[in-house]
Amino acid sequence: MHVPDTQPVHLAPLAIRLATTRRDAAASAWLRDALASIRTTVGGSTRPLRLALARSRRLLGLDPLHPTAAERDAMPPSVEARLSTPGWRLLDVGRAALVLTALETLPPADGAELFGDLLRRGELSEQESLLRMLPLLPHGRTLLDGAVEAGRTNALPVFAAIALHNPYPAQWFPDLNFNQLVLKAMFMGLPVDHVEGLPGRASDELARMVLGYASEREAAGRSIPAGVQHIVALANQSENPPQTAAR
Amino acid sequence: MKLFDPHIHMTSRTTDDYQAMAEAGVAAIIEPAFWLGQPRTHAGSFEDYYLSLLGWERFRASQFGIHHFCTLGLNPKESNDRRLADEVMDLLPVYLEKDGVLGVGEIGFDDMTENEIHYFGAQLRLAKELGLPALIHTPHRDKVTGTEQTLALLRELDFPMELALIDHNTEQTVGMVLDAGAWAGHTIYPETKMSPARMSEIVRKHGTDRILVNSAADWGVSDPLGVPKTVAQMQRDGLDEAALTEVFWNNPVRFFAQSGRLDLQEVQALPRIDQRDLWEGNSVLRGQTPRVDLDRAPEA
Repeated sequence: MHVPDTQPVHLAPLAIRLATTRRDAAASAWLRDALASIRTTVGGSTRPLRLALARSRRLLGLDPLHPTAAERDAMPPSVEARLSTPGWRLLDVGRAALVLTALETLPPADGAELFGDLLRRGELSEQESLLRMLPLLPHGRTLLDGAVEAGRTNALPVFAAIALHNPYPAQWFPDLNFNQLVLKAMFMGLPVDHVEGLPGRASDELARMVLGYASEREAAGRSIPAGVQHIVALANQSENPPQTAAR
Repeated sequence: MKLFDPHIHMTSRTTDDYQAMAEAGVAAIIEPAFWLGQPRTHAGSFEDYYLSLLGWERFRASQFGIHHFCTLGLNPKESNDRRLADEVMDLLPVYLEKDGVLGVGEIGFDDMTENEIHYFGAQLRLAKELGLPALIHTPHRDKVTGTEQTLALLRELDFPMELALIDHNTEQTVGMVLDAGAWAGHTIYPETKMSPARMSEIVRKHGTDRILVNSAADWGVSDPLGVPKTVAQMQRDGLDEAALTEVFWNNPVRFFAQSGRLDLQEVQALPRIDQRDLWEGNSVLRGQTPRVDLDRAPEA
């Protein structure tokens, strides 16, 4: 489920609340100050955002979020759907709040450039957070180049953040890039049934690619990768028209 | 026994090395930023290198169950192009804040030029400001003088000695470094620098306080198993398990924990960057094992 561009996501209050309950007052105070600092550098330096992203892991930790029923009730439905999926950490919520706050101060083209820049200059956990938060960011289509580029990584946690439990590729990736993402997930031994939106994008071409990969494995005397029959079955069921040109 | 190599340049090493290190018990490493064997000509080269230490190299190490941390900085060999050096200095304040960075380094002297002094000093000031330890390279030529000048600069800047790791020591320099209250690193190379037998003698003579041992394995003829080989030598020489644990685990942890960035519990366990998290709930794997064998239990 994606957030329509017309509906801005306000994560800051939620992130601050979660920082208090999951960490401590110091963590939420830090987050509050970091958000304020980003708001007040409108059109200026991105340094407060970069510093906050860099420091955030120390303040917010790496623990998974697993929101409680009470916490989920207090979230808007689109946010709740996202934050309940596997992989989300408090760290990702905090970072999404920081990035959303920065994007609010920028026109879409500048926002896309900033997002791409943050991705390229992020270390592993930052890249993971940036990819995971994609469905919550406005003007999703403008972020496509960065997302496709990030899908080329071989660093498993980063790749998994775009490929699994993330609606963004199914929503925005052109056919070639989506197919390559799924094939790569299979190649890396990841469960392709966790690629969100796969049923709607499983095409004959994707089926051909995974069958081709399976036969390569067979010819090499290796096991057939998991997910091949699943994809073939989905392709047979659907009548998915091809999407736009590849990146 | 779990081992920590606090100075090793894995960028230049193959996965064969990671495999051998893991089998020999190396569970944590520090990769300091250094030169690549020839000078870089763009600040972007430094930035991409920092990103690789924080990114790909960290992931690569995790595939072998090894915690990878780094220090970042402008090394002395590349301090002499001031325009480029200034651009690199501009990168450091943000990069030093990123996850995985435990200190500023390698910094220090190589030829002891004016430029080297300038950037060494600037980075010590930056380390002091950020509360980060400094990993300090001493010259391989005229080392005694280089070490004396390093200590003099640290005193001049009122840099906390307990946050200074002065590396590549020999019998001639270790005494003055320890007397000054700093930490003394030693690099075990196959032919040059320090040997396991000599290292064993240094520990016998000076004790284990503030003594670190590393391999500094890099692009040259060097040995990524320098640390486990030194452990073996010391065992043969009769050093007890407690002393070995001090030198090869507790000391590096203690030194770099001063950064406030090293989670003591986390470093005792296997790296979190592994695949088991991704197999939550339903898996379509049907009997396939995760990419890296992580079934070995963390050692006590």
